Amino acid sequence: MTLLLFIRCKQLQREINGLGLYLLVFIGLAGYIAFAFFKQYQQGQNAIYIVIGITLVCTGLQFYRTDKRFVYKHLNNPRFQIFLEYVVLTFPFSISCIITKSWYCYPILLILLLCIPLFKFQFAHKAIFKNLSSIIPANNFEWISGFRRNYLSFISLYLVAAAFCWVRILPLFLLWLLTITISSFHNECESIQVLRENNRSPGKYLSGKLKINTMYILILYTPLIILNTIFNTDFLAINLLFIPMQISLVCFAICLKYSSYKPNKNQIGNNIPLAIVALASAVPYLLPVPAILSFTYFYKATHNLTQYLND
Amino acid sequence: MISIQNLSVKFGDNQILNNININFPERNVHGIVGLNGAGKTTFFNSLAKTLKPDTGSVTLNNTAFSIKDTAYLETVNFFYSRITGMEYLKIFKQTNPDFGLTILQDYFKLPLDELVENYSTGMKKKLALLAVLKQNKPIFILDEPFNGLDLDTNKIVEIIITTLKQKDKTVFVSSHIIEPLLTICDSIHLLDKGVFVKSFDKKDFDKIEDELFSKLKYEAKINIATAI
Repeated sequence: MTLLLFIRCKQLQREINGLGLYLLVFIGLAGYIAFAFFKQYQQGQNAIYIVIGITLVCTGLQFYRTDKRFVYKHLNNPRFQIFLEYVVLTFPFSISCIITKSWYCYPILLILLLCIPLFKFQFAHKAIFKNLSSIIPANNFEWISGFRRNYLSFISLYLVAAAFCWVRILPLFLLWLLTITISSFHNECESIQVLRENNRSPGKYLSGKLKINTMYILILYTPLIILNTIFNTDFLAINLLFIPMQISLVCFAICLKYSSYKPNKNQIGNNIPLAIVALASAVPYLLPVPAILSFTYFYKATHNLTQYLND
Repeated sequence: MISIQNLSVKFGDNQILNNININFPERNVHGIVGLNGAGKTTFFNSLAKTLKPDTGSVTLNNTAFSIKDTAYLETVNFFYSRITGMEYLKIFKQTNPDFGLTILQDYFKLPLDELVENYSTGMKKKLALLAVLKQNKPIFILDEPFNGLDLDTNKIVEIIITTLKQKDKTVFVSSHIIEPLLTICDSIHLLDKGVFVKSFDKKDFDKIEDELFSKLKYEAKINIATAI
């Protein structure tokens, strides 16, 4: 095993330890996705699209990964190590290809992945939307930061949803994707100084965050949902349920973050339970799941914040 | 008077702070020195209540110490990704009525419209310090404020700390470089293996270097001569 893969294994082990029961759901989901890919590989043309998609995702990762300088400077044969990392990362989505009629796509994918480590340069993050804090108060730094990170997908999802607001399901699906993007704004843990800035109790701090996020979701989604309901009056019940569902998903993301809050930590591991709950929110008989989990995690979060906010 | 009684912190089997009992007069600048691993940052974290000690208490004039009493500049400063320096500063309410960003910016020269993640270590330190100075708190805890700063800014930070004292603030400051502490501190406390072994008043500052490094210098002279 290469050193880079060894490091990744250790990191994965640490994340898995913190997953608990979600691990089972995660394995089930991963198995389902692998099977779905296998089905797609059986159709020749889709296999090509998947290979292109996987290559683009890995290229994107390569451009934005922050460990590049370290890997290229300190590891032996860094290009090969990075290539192997991408091979392992894409393995669950690509390996089933070799037992289908699209088997030739796998060597093509390997050749494409072999080229990715040649991209050594890194995009410097530039400050775009410099006056964002005049629209979004600086206290809602998660939104400022998240919007800058995801502005392309954020704006395009919203605009397409707005453009097709007369269509039946599509705008709801796009707004659901937007909710997942917004939920990912809450991955980072702020510093203790920022947390303590308003001298609030844990309950008030958390309620404040939930209120402001609820307000933003309402401001963003209500006009589109009203328009969608006007065009599709028979969808009234679904549309009425839609916004509370999205709010509870974002509230769950916030409560999940603060239930395991540690100053200055990045909680990428939370993406897994978040993705599972997001999927649950799209299944009719699992609709209450995000709301129930939000309540459960609200208490966990206030309890966890007590050690940082109470004397 | 800030009183620390029976303060102990343990991480696993490692006793980091070992039953500390010490009093710090208010409105003074207290330097905390010690070699790496002596427990300086853990002591500051306990003071700022970012860490719950295993035993002991910290009181300010015989009342329990509150998190509202302290402004804390950490050794390593964390900033939310993709926010600009100005946005970071805006997060903090200005409770210090005298805080003048324009004047301080003349000396710090920070690109406040740029993303903080593109700042150098020294620039991040200056930005975090500005946020600390926006707050009107009676106690300032500055962990390694001179780290990563250029010579000019080191001097500015010295002036800032002296000014805080003139404004009746109590300042705790640590540094790996002893020289700035000799200029700005009213007393310097030597932390060794989780215990304050000695405190020096201004008149005894000339003895600090001997106390800190005498053994090390003697041993190192002999050992390094054989190793190089």
